[in-house]
Amino acid sequence: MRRLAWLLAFAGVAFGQIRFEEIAREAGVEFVLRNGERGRFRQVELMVAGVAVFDYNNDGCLDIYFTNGGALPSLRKTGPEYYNRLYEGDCRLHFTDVTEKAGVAGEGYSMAVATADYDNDGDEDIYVAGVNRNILYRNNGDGTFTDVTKAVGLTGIDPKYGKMWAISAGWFDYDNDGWLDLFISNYIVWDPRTEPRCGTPEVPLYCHPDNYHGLPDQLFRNKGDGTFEDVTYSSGIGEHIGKGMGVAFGDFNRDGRQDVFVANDSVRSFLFENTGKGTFREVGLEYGVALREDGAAIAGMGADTRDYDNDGLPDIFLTGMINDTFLLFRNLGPGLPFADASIPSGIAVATRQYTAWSTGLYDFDNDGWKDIFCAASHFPNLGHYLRTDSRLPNLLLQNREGKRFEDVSTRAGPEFQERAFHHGAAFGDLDNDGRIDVVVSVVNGPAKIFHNITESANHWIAFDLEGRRANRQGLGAEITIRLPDGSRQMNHVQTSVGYASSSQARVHFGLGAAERVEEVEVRWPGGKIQRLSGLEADRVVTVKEPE
Amino acid sequence: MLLLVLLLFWAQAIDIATADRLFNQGRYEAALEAYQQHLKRLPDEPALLLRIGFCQYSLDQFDKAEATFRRVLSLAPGMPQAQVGLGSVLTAAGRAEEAIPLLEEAVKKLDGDVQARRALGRAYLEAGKFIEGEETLRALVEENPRDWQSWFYLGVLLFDQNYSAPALEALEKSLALHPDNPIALVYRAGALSQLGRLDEAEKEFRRLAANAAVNRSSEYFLGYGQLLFLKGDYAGALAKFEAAIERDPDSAKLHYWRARSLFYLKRIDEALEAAEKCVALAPNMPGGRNLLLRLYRLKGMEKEAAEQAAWLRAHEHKVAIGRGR
Repeated sequence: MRRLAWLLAFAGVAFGQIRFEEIAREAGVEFVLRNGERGRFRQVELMVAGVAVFDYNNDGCLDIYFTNGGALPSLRKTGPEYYNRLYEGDCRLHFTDVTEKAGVAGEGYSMAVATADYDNDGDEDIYVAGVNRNILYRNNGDGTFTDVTKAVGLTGIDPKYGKMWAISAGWFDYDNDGWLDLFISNYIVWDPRTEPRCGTPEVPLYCHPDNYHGLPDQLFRNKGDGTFEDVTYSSGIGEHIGKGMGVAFGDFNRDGRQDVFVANDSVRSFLFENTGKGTFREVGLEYGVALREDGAAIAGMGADTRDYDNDGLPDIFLTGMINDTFLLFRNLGPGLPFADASIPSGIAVATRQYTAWSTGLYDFDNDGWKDIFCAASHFPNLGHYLRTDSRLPNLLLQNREGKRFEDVSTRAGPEFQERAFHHGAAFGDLDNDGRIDVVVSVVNGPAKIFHNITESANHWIAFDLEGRRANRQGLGAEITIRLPDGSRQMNHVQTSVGYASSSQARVHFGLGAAERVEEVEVRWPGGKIQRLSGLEADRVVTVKEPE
Repeated sequence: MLLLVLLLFWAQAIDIATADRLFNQGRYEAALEAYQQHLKRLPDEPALLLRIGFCQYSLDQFDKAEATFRRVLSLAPGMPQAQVGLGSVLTAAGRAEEAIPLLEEAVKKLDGDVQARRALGRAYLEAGKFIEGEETLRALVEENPRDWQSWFYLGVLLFDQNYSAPALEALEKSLALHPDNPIALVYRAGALSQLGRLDEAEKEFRRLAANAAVNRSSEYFLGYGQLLFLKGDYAGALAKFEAAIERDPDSAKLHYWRARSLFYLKRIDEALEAAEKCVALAPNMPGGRNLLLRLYRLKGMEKEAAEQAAWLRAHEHKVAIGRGR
């Protein structure tokens, strides 16, 4: 490995530098996310759409599901070009389109995807959220899915607002009963017949969200019998009108219950604190995560909630629009407001000129510190005023020991520099080589698969959880590892990551030079602690919850 | 300048060439005195009053200028040059919304006169009408790339909207044509800072420290302090904000930045005091409230924190959730 490092350095490639190659076409993925735009600048066009990486057929290889738009103004999938697409992976970076066979082409104008095993039957199901139309596809376990939306009570129709426009959705177990519940973030009241016009006739623009009424988010409790109960209002979630974008979960106040963070567009973000009594309190302002420190509500987009500084507490990162600066909130512990670490970490300066949508905190170079990927692009036509191209290359921020982030995008490989309207992004290890890859959807352009080809001597370990009393995938569980040098890392199991997207549930840790993990502590949802010790590096460990 | 040429049409019969020369030389006080001599002879002559109005405007005598231009318009209703004058005065006096209809009308009547359009562009800038301002000013600089004033206004407009890269480009074009505009230099340094070119921005601020035209203004110290804050030099930033406060003690924005620096320096009690001062000076400033909320929570003052949170929620409901809600 040392020789390889020397050779790479000689070839001008920095050893340890995070690098990706873009392989979508050769991998057999030729998906184009189509927003149906016809020059009318309708708001829905701007917001598409998410992507998921998950293992739908339990073969140990990650598959990809893309959501897609539809024709406008009908909001219909009038042809195959608007189908959502499922690609089956073979662990060797080759994918086969199995959409029709699986029966998951979708209906309507889709936005988000949330994958998880909601019925604890051992295979992952798909929830598609969109404009006035949400769909739950139950995995039949034989390579096909069944639309069970109405039967289980997940149409998403609100008693007050009717059909709503969902942007993101996520699975989590808020009541720790072992059954995954569903949270949906909704955006604005929108009707193509009353769409306002903004900008000028020469330079039309998508309207600012201030031109529209906001909507409440929704919460559906899994009753454990295959059906769901709408608890949006009884839980207190429905009291709060926002303009919901990305959703991420975490036990921010360390009480053993999952809380919810929602990035809102140009109004304050929400932090829903789980009271443990079936209700939530919205405490974003009190915890200092609702606004940028100067009191501005940013155009929040994607969010992820992981421990970036290895202090054992989940932090919050969210993307925004140019000049917002993306926000990094550091969790200082139970009861205390988060610290806005955007400026001290270098995030503010690094992101000020970017607009980004989906995002994720993953350790791409396995050095033990989680880095940040952002799927970036400005709004179409904004480039007229910026005097630049609205398409952007993606943004990669390398974590410098939990203190600062450095923009290393320009060194991440030639394909990484290519501009596009990047929106959705999902994360997972597509070839099981211990390096996290990224799948990105592109508005009106071919999707991208960024295969992680980072060269380093660093080691890694990953965990697949299997719950018994807890939900089958262990969503919400926290895993803390201790390395031989005494250092610790914490991460948690969640699939709701970024913007409208869903990522692999497997929990991945970079170990740096450590070849083994001294101790692993799994805190299952509900509080049960499980410990393992003396695990060798560079492998995936399946942890089953004790009876 | 062009406006004065146009004005000659209105004052053909008056021998005011000497006063006009003084005006064109930028000797506004002397020009004003000369025009006022003629006024004794022609007290109701619109063209003469118009000249007086522009002198007063150039001398920052906005109240007097407004009264003069209004008098012209009462004598010659709809006179477009007077509309330009009144619109410019209103813009300078912070009443750009009132100025815009006047200036839009004048631009139509004057068939696209450059000075009228520039005045309108500036009014859009001051009123926060970005799209209209950008369109107006961009057209002016495309027609005449040597129009340093329009480049300057365009730069400020873009800077205010946080379009930092094109703002920098516009400001640099303006400065290349007219290097002695200290305000453009401060904006340029600010744009560099926004673009993350922090070292270059700091170099500019240091250079400006020797420029007597700007180095005593609170804006200079505010911009410099914000740059140092972004660089993580919170103590250096605090010193700049305190220097700014010495010059402008009742600026809520300056007290906010002082409070924020103290907070980052972990001088919590002093930060709390400064944040309270900020909110007392500007009760409607969300940044002050948000910082105060954080500080109250850190001090365990939950009741006070809850009051700030309630204010911020109510404020947002008023301004942002959606029209008509």
